[in-house]
Amino acid sequence: MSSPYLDPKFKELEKEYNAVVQCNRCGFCETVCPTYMVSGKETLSPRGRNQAFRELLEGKIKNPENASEIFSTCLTCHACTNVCFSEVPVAKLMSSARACAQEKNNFYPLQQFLLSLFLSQRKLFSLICWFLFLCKRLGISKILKQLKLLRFIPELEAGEDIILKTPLIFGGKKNVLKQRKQEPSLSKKMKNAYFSGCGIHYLYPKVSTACLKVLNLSNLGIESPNHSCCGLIAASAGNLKIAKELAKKNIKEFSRLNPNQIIVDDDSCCGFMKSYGELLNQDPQAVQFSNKIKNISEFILENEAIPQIGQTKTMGKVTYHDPCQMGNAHKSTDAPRKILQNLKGLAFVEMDESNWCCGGAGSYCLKHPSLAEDILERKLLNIEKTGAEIVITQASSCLLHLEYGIRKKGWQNKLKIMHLAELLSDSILQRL
Amino acid sequence: MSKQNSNLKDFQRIVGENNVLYKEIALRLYSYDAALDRACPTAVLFPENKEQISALVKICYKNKIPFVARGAGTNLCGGTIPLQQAVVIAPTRMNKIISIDPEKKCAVVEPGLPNLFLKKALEPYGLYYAPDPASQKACTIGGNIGTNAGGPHCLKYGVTSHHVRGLEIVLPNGEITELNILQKGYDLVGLMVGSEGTLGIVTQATLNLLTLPAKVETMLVSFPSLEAAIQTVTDIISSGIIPATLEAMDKITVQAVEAFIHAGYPTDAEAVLLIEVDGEEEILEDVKKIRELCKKNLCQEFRLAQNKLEREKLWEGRRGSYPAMARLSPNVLVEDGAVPRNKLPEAHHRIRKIAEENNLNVSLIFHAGDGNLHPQILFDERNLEETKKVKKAGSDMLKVCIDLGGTISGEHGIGMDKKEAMRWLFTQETLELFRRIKQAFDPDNLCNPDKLIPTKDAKEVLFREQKNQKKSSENDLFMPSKKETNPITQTSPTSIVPKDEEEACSFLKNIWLDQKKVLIQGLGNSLKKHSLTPDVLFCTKNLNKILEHDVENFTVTVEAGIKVEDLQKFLCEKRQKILFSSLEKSIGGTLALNLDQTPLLRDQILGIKLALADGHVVQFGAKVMKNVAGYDAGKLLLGSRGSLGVILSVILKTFPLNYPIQAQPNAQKRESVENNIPENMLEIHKKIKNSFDPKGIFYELPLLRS
Ligand SMILES: Cc1cc2nc3c(=O)[nH]c(=O)nc-3n(C[C@H](O)[C@H](O)[C@H](O)COP(=O)(O)OP(=O)(O)OC[C@H]3O[C@@H](n4cnc5c(N)ncnc54)[C@H](O)[C@@H]3O)c2cc1C
Ligand code: SF4
Ligand code: SF4
Repeated sequence: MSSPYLDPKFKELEKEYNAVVQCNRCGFCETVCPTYMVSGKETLSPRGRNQAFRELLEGKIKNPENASEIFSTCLTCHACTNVCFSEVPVAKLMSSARACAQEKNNFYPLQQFLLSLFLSQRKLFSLICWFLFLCKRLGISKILKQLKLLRFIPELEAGEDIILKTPLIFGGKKNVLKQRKQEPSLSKKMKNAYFSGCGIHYLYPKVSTACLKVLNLSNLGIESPNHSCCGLIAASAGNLKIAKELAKKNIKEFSRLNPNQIIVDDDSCCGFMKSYGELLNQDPQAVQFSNKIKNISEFILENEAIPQIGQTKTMGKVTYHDPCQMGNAHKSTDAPRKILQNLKGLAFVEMDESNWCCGGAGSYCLKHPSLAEDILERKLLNIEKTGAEIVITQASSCLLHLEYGIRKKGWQNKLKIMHLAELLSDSILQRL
Repeated sequence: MSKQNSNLKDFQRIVGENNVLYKEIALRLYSYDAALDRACPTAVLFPENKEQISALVKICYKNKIPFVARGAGTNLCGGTIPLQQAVVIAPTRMNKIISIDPEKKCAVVEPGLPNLFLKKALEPYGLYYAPDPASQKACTIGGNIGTNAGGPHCLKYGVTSHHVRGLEIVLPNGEITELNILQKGYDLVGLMVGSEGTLGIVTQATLNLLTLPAKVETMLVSFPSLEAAIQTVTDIISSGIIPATLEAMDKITVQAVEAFIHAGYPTDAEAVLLIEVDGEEEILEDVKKIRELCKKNLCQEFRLAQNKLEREKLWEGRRGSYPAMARLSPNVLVEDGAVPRNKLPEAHHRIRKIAEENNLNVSLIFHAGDGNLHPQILFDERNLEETKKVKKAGSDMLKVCIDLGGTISGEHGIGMDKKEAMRWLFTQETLELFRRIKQAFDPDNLCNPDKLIPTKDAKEVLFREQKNQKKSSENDLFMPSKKETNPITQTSPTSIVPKDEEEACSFLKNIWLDQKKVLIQGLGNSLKKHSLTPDVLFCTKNLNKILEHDVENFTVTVEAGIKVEDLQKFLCEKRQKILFSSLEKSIGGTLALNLDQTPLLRDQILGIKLALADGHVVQFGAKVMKNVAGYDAGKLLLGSRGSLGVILSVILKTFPLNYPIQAQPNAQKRESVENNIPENMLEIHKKIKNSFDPKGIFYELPLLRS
């Protein structure tokens, strides 16, 4: 029997309701929430989001659409849940909250159809990206922006500033892997798979190549089956149904290979995939899949995979920025630090609030550019305080937003932002 | 344009459109704090500096719009609920540290600064700010000042009010003013701290800092009974050691915590103490002594943390006491009472009984050194029946505290939740005085309205008036018979030397009706130079009895006319002392003059009983170390120089004779120009005076005499 306090309209959200009523409004989470800290507003705080969602589910809010801003401004960075004694999973609740508060106009079904279509068909998605990226390269988007025509699609307008480079060839160079596969020494049993997230695939093909290079040296047999988006984009947009479909599709595609481990090059996807089990109601296959998911740093550390790593071409002070979906959501913070501390020629310095979101948060910086910039500013100040010359991270969204921050500050000459794999692949090249 | 819209426009003009929330959904998120009450504001405003706050308040003042200051909204008493459709003024973005002065050991900060952020910023200087509420991660300095917050470390170092040196305030009429504890006149800083935002909005605070101790030792000790644990607490304090913290938990609490945190607490003990001492090398001796005392009281296990990691682990268990409950149910009612320390076992026993009778899941933690206790009761606010039952049980627990000579709030405040309970604790006269103090600041009742003080009920008014009408013929000093014993001529004043409190009050009642001008005298040695011509010299030198010395609890209650030296002699025989440097003066006189000494007088007083001009008695404070119920009006008597009323008796903290600190008189710091009271504060002084003594029976403060 469902709770008598839950509005029957939302009866399928019983689980979410039970989670959100555990928020007793103690307020402990407020000071770790980036959106609260830059605004000082309860409407941009975890406690506020919980109370709004709770009231919505109890049917106390007449027009749920009015609450959509409260939910959409959440970075889903998980920082709040880690300090919450009742462990209210605010970030996870936001998918359903956004869905409940979404304005369902005539375009809604079409929007959802397109979302589902593009995310599950990487080839089709590539077509769209290619077209958009080409427009940007040709300066068309810039002209449109100057003509104020992009105002109608704010995401594209913001993207014009935030995204600098738009590659026209996507994905890493797979041939790196192929060379290696022919080596007879490779044991057949050792099979591992590589998953490339959309952000890295489309915006950072060089990171993907670097990952493959690094993994290739592991001698652990890496293969990369076809796959689609991990589903985080859909979940963030409030569409858990599509997210679940994508998860199932990925599980199916990877299960053919039956890999020991699945290495994911983008921490955002990696964190989300580690939660497939939870997403799919503890379905055993999904749980098993989730248990295999590793980011590059975890993979290297756990397998002591790449003995060559030890020296880098790059020298100097380095610091690490924790992508939220791994650092906060899975408390996976040790592996990258251990690797960085062990690299010769580099001095690792910890930054204050390394788990403070950079404001990128997937497409968040495109949707809420002004909030995102305030959040980014604090991150940049913390980086500056370390005196580091290099910032390492493992998610495309962080790369993109931090690079944007560096450009904005004019720090291009003193600060470099890299994916861990790039740094490692440099170091490998150095040794070969 | 409606009035409300035009006000909104005005607000927006001051703080910017982005900094005004007025849509329904946003307002709903300002209808709560960490307690249960709810009410929506009409708007929420986010000022960035004191000028903006002042401008906002001025609009409110002009248009009679109620307003409420809000920090992080973590208070547990409904203190920030916007009643009367108030607007919320939330200086959450005023969260900067303006300066840190390692020399003077003080920091100037904005009110929105979270407590923990200050702590972190001070670490590099080797300094810290002592008040450490469990909510320090979130709660703000402004809120801490509002509720006079305390924490585990307040046993040795004192609560918020001991650490606020100066305040910048926007008064309810929008004027900005500055206060500090060195100013002449009444201790208004003392009054403001703990006033729950009902007297003005703090826009900046100067805080006292301490040097981080060189050494810290943490012990976890288990006992076969809570009595044994509390006896140990008393023994430790009696031995001259005041630990940094002395926290206790009962068995049920330890079991709940262990199930969740696994900090390695002994789950079979009836009670555990978490003891921490800090200081220099000498604390190793203290640890030894503490261990002996624990043994003497038959402790079971004595565990001394060997390193930082182990210490953290022990603290984790203590800190886990709230989380362990929070995860079990949607709501936890954190009740907050205080009793004289040696009454803790009885309080515990009676509170447990209430829990059992009502079939409630309650964990009990104690800031044992302070006699402050927190029953934490599980419930689900959606279940209205259960909520009612839990609230009632909470009230019953507070009644137990009052019954044992304690108070209804040690650190969380009164707000809306305990307003009615104020009637159990204070006399109608005292409540009425609180209302008049509130009026002195806020005549239109706009500033956090309907909090802290229960509304006057009809019966109360009647009571007061009736009492005033009758003139008692007994003790009438102007009756011929009295004149003979106290001969006066036209020019010299009548001297009155009451022998006890009762006589003092009945004299005052008569004087009140005759409207004579009265000068209050202690031992009479400070008032020789004045050029006043009072009708009556009211001398308290015969009010010199020691009413009660609670040896175990380290408190002494004395009449105000007792000479400090005499009291010290008495205490010395009991191997105790008070920290007063003015041996030649009376206790009352010392307080009325607010003599400058280290440690400050203001931190030595737990309670004051005062006879007002009309002979009615009001009483603030109790025999407890922590007390945030009502205004800290006792502080106003510091420096009052006989302008407010006759101090009848005082409850003072005592210390073991071998306690390492001695009271020292200070050079006259108070004379400097920067310590002069701002003009608008002189006005407030006059109004406060008026609220105590509307007919001007007593002389004004010298600095106000024109
Ligand atoms: C789990 C938990 C544990 C807690 N533990 C403790 C504890 O150990 N010790 C303790 O003392 N308290 C404790 N509290 C209570 C609470 O944290 C304190 O009362 C704290 O001081 C409130 O600070 P705040 O910033 O949240 O203030 P708020 O709740 O926003 O406000 C508190 C009061 O101060 C007033 N106020 C706020 N800002 C200003 C200002 N600028 N000027 C004037 N008035 C202002 C408000 O009007 C209100 O009356 C706890 C609370 C929770 C939820
Ligand atoms: S989410 Fe958790 S930490 Fe935040 S207010 Fe609710 S219960 Fe407290
Ligand atoms: S997930 Fe991040 S942004 Fe969202 S409420 Fe929690 S801390 Fe704030």
